[in-house]
Amino acid sequence: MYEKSREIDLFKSAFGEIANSYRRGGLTLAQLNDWKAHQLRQVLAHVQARSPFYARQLAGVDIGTIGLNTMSRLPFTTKDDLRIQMGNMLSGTYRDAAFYYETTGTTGPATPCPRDVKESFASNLQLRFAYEDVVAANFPAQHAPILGILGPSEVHSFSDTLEEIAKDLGICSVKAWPGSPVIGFDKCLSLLKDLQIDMVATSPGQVMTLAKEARRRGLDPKRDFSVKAFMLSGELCTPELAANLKSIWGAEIYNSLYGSQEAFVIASTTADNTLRPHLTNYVFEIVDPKTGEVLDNDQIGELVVTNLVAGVKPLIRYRTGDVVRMTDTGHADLYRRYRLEVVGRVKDSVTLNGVDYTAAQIEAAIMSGVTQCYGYQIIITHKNGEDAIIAKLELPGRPESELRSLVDSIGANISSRLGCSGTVMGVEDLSEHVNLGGWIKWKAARLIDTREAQEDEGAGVTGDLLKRLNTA
Amino acid sequence: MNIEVRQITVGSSHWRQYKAWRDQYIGVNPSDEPQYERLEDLRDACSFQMGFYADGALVGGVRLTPLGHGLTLGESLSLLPASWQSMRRYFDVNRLVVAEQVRGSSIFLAGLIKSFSSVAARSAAKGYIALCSPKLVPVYERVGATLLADELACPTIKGKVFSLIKLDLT
Repeated sequence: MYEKSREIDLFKSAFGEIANSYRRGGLTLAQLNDWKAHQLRQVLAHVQARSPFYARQLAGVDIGTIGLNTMSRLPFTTKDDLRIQMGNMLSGTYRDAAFYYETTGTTGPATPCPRDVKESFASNLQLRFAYEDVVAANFPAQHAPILGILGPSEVHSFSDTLEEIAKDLGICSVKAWPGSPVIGFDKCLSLLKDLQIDMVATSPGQVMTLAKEARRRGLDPKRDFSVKAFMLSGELCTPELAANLKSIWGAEIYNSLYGSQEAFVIASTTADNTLRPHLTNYVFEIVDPKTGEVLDNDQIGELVVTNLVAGVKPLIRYRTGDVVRMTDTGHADLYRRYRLEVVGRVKDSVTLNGVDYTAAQIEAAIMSGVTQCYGYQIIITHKNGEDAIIAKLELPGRPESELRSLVDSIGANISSRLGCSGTVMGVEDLSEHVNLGGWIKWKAARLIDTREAQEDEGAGVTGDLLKRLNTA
Repeated sequence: MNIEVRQITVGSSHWRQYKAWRDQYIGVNPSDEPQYERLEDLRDACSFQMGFYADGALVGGVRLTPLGHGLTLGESLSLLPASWQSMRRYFDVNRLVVAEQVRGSSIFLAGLIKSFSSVAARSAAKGYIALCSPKLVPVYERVGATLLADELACPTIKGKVFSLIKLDLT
């Protein structure tokens, strides 16, 4: 016990020093690379010795020869590896962990994602910096905001992470996920309203659902609530969707973080709403999603990360499945130098009439110029060799004259940006399931592809969802 | 009597009532369509379903399904001219039902006219078509539709015929 405690203290001290120096703008590139090289050697030795999967995967690899510039000699870790290997991925036992989490399991078997204290500390600290900046940008120093945490608690890191951050920042947090059987929308909305909650961490879909539920109760999101900032995660949120959310709530919309249960928080928001990659926590690589070939870091490609914390589940060259663009702004301060833009998930890309589109491109085409929309759904159809789109947008209580021009404009966007014709429908009320996207998957929640015949897991989920849509 | 139309959300109690009338009065898979269950799920998910309300009570409804996506009966049974596939701003009028106790009243026509108006605003629809029973042609003609074809033989049920009507919005 004492040894473990000492190891944790030593790590917190070393990581804290590097991370705080990074945040203050005092870390040089040489210092950063020394830290990363040191951590990489430690992590590789750790996984080789303790993880059954990596013992096989890295058998015969002389770790001493691997450095930051020779990572490509190591094999990738894929999502399929996680699903097949399950507990064999771990570099330790569940008893070594501080928390037990899982992936959500809606796109295949849920995989175990335990975290130890070191992993949790390193991941949370970077996100804490982001929350600090957003709080400072949105609230006067004498006003300590209240943070509403509206996401899953059970076997999911979301609530634990944010509760810890709020505690460290000295602000009050309220766990009030409406999906919890002990909360529901009545209680959640009462808490938001009565406590005058200032900041809400949740998913974009949940922001729309909250507004919808508020309207059902005769409440106006702008007039009757005090939310000044939404910290979003779990789901795609393009600038177009963010503008729509802002039109409903009158609050600032932040894409608060990018990460996953299995890889932790990889990047977090800046006060000007860009994503900052956590340089001290990972080795970042960009690869061609089809060939796996390593690309220059400033090219668009699939993000591959290697965790630099020797915890329970460090992943080596983990293919995230997300297409990103890493931008080097050339800023002298490393903390401000790089930006990460998540373009879309590889599996969320959609081919329309022979051209591939990312989820972001599709969402942007549908949501451009749209305000006061409480949800959307896209149905892709195919007839006589031509793909087409049916776009359903929940636009309640909108005057008919306004609706007609909006529908015309969305139809024109679909045609010009997505190269296909479509039917746009402004509906009063979409199914509840559509806005669950953040906690399942964008493609599963918002997209019904009638061309697919259960070809992949996403389609399977979509098929199930379609059933549920019509039988709820 | 105050007559209004409202969208019915799939899965709601009003939708279940409307669906029960559909099944009772029109029947399940009345044209013996292949892949009927899958198509019906898609039609329900992708259509406007308008409820007819008399003094606030649901008394009937109609489903309006976008054309050109392979979802409609006319497309599934290849009964429509090929050139119509690109008419994605036209809607197919189907599953038109009213409760027995209000039959013979003005609800049928009023509900249809109000539904056409509402859907036109919500979709920028250019018009409507219906592949219907010949006995319904006079009803559609009373709302301004024209008969395009009669005696269209149903390929899946011997002896069953459809009439094809079209209403262009100006």
